[in-house]
Amino acid sequence: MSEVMNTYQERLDRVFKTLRLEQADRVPVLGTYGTWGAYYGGYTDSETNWDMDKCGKAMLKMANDIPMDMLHQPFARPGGVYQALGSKAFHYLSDSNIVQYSDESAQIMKDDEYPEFSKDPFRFLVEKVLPRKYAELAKDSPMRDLAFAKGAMKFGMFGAQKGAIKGSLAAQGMPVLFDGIILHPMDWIADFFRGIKGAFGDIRRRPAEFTEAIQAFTPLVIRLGMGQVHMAPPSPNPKVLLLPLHLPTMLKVADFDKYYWPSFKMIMEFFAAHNVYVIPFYEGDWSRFYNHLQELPAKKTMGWFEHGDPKEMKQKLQDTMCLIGLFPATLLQYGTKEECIAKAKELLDNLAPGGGYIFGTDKELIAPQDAKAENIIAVNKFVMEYGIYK
Amino acid sequence: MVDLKVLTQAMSDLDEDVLNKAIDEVLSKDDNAAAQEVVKACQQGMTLVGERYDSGEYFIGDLVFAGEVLQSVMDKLKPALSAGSSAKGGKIVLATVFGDLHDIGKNIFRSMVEAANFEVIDLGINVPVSQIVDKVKEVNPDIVGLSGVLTLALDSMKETVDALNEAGFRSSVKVIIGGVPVNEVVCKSIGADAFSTNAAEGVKICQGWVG
Amino acid sequence: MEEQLLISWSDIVKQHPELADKDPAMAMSWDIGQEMIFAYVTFLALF
Repeated sequence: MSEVMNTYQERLDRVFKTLRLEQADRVPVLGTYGTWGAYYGGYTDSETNWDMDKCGKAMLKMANDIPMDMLHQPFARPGGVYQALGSKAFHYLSDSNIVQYSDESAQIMKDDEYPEFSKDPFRFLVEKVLPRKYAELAKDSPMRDLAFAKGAMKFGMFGAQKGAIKGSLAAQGMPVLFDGIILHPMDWIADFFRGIKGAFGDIRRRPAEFTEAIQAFTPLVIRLGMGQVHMAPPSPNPKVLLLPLHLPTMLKVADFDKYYWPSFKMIMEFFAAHNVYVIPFYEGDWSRFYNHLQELPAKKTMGWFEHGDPKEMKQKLQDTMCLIGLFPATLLQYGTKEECIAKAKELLDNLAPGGGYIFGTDKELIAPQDAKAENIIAVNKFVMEYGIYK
Repeated sequence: MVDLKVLTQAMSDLDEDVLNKAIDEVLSKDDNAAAQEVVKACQQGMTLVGERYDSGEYFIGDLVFAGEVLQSVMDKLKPALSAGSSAKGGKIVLATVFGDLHDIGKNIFRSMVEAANFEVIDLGINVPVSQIVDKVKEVNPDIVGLSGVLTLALDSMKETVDALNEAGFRSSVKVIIGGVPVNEVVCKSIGADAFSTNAAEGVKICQGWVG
Repeated sequence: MEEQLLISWSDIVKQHPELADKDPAMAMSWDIGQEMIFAYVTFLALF
């Protein structure tokens, strides 16, 4: 095998071993670099959404310059798809700004539409959600049909281009972690159909309908995940899905237990049973729910965490899941190299023993000001030395 | 006659049905004084909501709903309230800074600080530095509140504070920053007077400044 | 009766009885075109 292939294989082995809660040769470093990477490559977020080549180039530059074992995923969004359909949801605030979702475009689903949604969620998406989100899909045939087809073509091309980017990264010895993304049905309904305000109102005003909708939508989430699993090329390792979580840290435990946990457990158990790794991004502070997380299938799910006491997390979760992240991005932007390294040392001292920890930032880096490159390089280099298991 | 204690408790319990009944009664009688009392009772209830959040009973979801309920009460009673009827505490210019679209935290803070009798001029989301400075010039507030969730908001907060300095207004206002990424270190480097990641705490800080 | 938007698993099995004892989640890839359209539609409802 060539040296590049060797490096590629070594990195894969190191990461997947750690995910399985086996101790590898050292603590792996995951590059959790999102649209920050566009700017690192000399582009704007906006530009890379229209030209996947630029996303690819930026990722190759990161792979080349930044010491790490794996990049987490291609960061570009399919601008062409959104343009073909006349999307109203994304805000390109200025050419140099990052894309962010806005609650303004929620209320896609009206107060009285829960029963219709739950009866046939897929039909509801096609007949109600899509025409409300996309101007072209609100038009009559044949305008609508052609726009839909054009968007589908672009969607397919986008998938192929992502695959090509992963291929060129592999040729440079750099693996990529995620094969796809899913969302929890409650987060999905809240963030994209009812708005957060609407969802918190629904908990109080129509609890039974909301619960039913979450249950009805769960099989679609699972199917979306499996679809992406099938669309990814064959691999000796399990496929990996990202599951960014949103609402739980805003809910009291009783509401979490009623609305969020049952579907969450169902989804995690389903994918575990099919040997697909799901890695939730546990945004915020999940310490209220560590006991819940202990119920997840051991060694078959992982967790990317933002906040948490490393000692407590290791103690409570080390037998259940590999822990990822926790390194504060703000330190990478506002701290000195020495401060960054000191923090990394602290994390490794608490989380690395016995394996089961992958070093990464506490959240995806999205804006150019989210982290200084020289700090990232210094701290990653440190982890790759200090994290060697003797 | 509407029992105000019951209303305060209903607001605290987030019981819309009780509140709606009381509002209907007040509107049917066209009683301005009663409308005033109802608003005050709800604002007191909102303070209790803040305490229940502090104690860990309520979470953000409950605060957001509380804000909605209070807003709905105010909107329904508006026709029965005379202009400038409630006494005002301090004045706050509030904004989610440039580049950031998030407003849940800001809106929770606004509900709570209005319940504490402050007058709030809410500039909304993604507010350019110049717009904040112009508004400060125009209304002469006691406090400027800057909110943001994304890390990039910190840069906009700093630019806003610097601009207030340059315009000569920095020393005549107190600046409080709020949101996910704020902390002591960041507060110092931005040049704000205080920071908070907790709306109820933010309200207390503001009360301390004008009290 | 309303036409189905997607072919259901039970209908697939009717036409292809050899799939009857397969795990639907894995065997859905038999019609990857349908899974791609499903992914496309749900993805569009995701931002």
